[in-house]
Amino acid sequence: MAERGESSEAVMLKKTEEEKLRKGKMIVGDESKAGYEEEGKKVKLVTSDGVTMEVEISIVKEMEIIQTFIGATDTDDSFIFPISNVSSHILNQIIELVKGEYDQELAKKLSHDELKEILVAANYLNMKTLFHFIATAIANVIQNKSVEFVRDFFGIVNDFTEEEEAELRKTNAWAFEGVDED
Amino acid sequence: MITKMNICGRKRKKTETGDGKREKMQTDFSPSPSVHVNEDLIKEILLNLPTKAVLRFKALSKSWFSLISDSEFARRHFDAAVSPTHKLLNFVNDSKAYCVDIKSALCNDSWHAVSNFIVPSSFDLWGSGLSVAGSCRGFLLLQYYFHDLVMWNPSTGRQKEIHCDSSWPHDLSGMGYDPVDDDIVVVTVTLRINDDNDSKVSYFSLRTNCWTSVEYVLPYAYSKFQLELRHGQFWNGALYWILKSSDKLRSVVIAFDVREKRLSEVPLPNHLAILPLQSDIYHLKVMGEHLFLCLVRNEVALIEMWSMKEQHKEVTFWIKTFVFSSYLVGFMSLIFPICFTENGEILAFNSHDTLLKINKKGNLVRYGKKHSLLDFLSCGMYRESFLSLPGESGEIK
Repeated sequence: MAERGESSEAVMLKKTEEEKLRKGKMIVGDESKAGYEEEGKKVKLVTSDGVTMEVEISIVKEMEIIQTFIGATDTDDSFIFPISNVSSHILNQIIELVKGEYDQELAKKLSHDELKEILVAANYLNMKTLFHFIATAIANVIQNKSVEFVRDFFGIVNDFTEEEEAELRKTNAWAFEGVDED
Repeated sequence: MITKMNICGRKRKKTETGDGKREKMQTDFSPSPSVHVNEDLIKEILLNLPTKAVLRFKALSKSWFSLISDSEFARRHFDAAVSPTHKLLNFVNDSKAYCVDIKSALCNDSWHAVSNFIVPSSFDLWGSGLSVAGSCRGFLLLQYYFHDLVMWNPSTGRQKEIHCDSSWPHDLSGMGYDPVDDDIVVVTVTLRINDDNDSKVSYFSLRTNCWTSVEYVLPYAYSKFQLELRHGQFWNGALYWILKSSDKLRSVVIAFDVREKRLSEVPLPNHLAILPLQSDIYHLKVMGEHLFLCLVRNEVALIEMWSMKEQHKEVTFWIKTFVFSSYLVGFMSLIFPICFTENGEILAFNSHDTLLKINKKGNLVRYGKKHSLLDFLSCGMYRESFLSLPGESGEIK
C-alpha cells in the first residue's frame, strides 16, 4: 500500500494535498480528523494506467471493496487506493454513470468494449448497483441479437461442429425467430 | 489505452520503476481488443434475458451450452424473473399448438406455431378431446378425455407422459408446486366411485415418479359448468376446484394442499354458496396474486368476479372485485378471464372462444377478431422457462 502512495504525485493533485501525502502515506495524522466534512470529501484512486483521480466519497461509497477498507482504516484524504484493474477511462465512465443516476440512455452511448470493461470493473470494485445496471444494459444490447453477434460481442469461439449447431438450432427453432439483423 | 487517456485528459507521465514492475500493468496496456468476461459474469447477464434469448444462446459454444443447461442456473433464472414472458397456448386438432405472447394476444398475426410437441401414442386411443389441465413453472399439463396425462414445456420441448394408475377416468385434475421438496405434483380426483360417496384422490410426484392414492368420503357432485371447472387452480400452495354438494343446492370449494398432500373443503360463505336459481358460479381462476371466482346472475344480467381475501378455519372471506354486464360481449355471454394485462386490464374469452380485454370498470376495451384457432378448453397459459422436471438431472439432448 505504502509504495503505491509514493507513486502518486499525480498531476491532478492539489499541492497541499501532495504535501500531506509525501509525509503521510497511509499513516493518519490526528489533526486531519478535525472538522471533516463527509460530503466534500474525496478519495484518491490510482487507476491501472497510473492516473491518480480524486473521486467524491459519495461515489467511492458504492465501491464496497474500497469502502470496507476505508471503514477498517481510520483515514484522511492522504489515503490512496490503487484500483489496478480499472483504467482511468473506465473510472471516468463509471463516475458519469453514477452521477447520471444510472440512466440507460447513458449506457447506449458506450461501446461494446466499454460495456464489458465497466462490467468487469463493477464486479472488481463490488459496486452492486452499477453491476446490475451494466448487466441489464448488456442484456438489452444482446437480447434480440443473433448467435453470431453475441459470439462477436464476447469474443467467443464457436466450438460446435456444423451438425451439432444445426441440431441445436432445430431443437429451439422458435428462439431463433424474429431476431434483429446484426 | 493511450488514446483513451487522451480523451479523458488524464494522461500522465509515469515513472519507469513503479508501474513497469507490475505484470498487471502490461496486460492493461496491451492492445487486446476484447475484454474477457468470465463465466460468472456471463451468468449474471443471462439472468437479465428472457427465456427465448437464453435458449438461443445455447448455440454459442459448448461452454455456454453447459452453463445454460445447468439445472441450478435454470432455477435461478426462473426465480430471478427479471423478464418473465407469459404465453397463451392453444391446441388445434389435438396436435398442432399455437402460442402468443400475452402482450399481443389480441393481434391475430402474433400467433405462431409451436412444433415441439409429440403426441404420445397412447393418446391415439382416445382420438380428440385434448385439454390443458394445469400450468406450473413453464410446464403445461395436458390430458385427453381425463385419462392419460402429459407434462410438456413448450419452450424447450421437454415432455413426459404420466400414466394414470386406474382405468377409471378421473373427474378433476390439476398440477401444483411444492417448494420444500422442489417437486411438481399432479393431482387427480375421482368422485363417487361407489354409492357411498367414496372418492379417490391420487397424486403423482414428479420427483419420486410415483402415484399415491388416498380414499376420501366426498359428498360432492359436478356443477353444471363441469368442463370449465374440472381443472384445478393452483394458488397459495393448494389446488382449488369448485363443486356442488351432492344435493346440488350448495357450491363447494375443495382444496388439495400440495405440500401436505391433504384434501379439505374450503367453506364458502352462504351468500356465495347458496345462490338463486338463475345464478351460478361458473369459473375459478388465479389471476395475479388472487384467486377469483366468477359468478353469473342471469336475473340481473351481471357477471361478478370475487377474490378470496382470507381464510379462517370456519369460513373464507371474498370481496366483489369486478362487475360486468353479461351483454358486454354478446347476448348473455359468459366471460372467462385468463389473466391481467400489463396495465391491469382483464384478458378474457367470451362464450364463443373470442379473446377480449375489459378494463377494471367493466368496460370492453378491445375485442379480438373471431379466431378459428381458439378453443377455450384447449388453451393454457404458461410462463416461459427452461427448467427441467423435478427428478430429472441435467439436460435431455
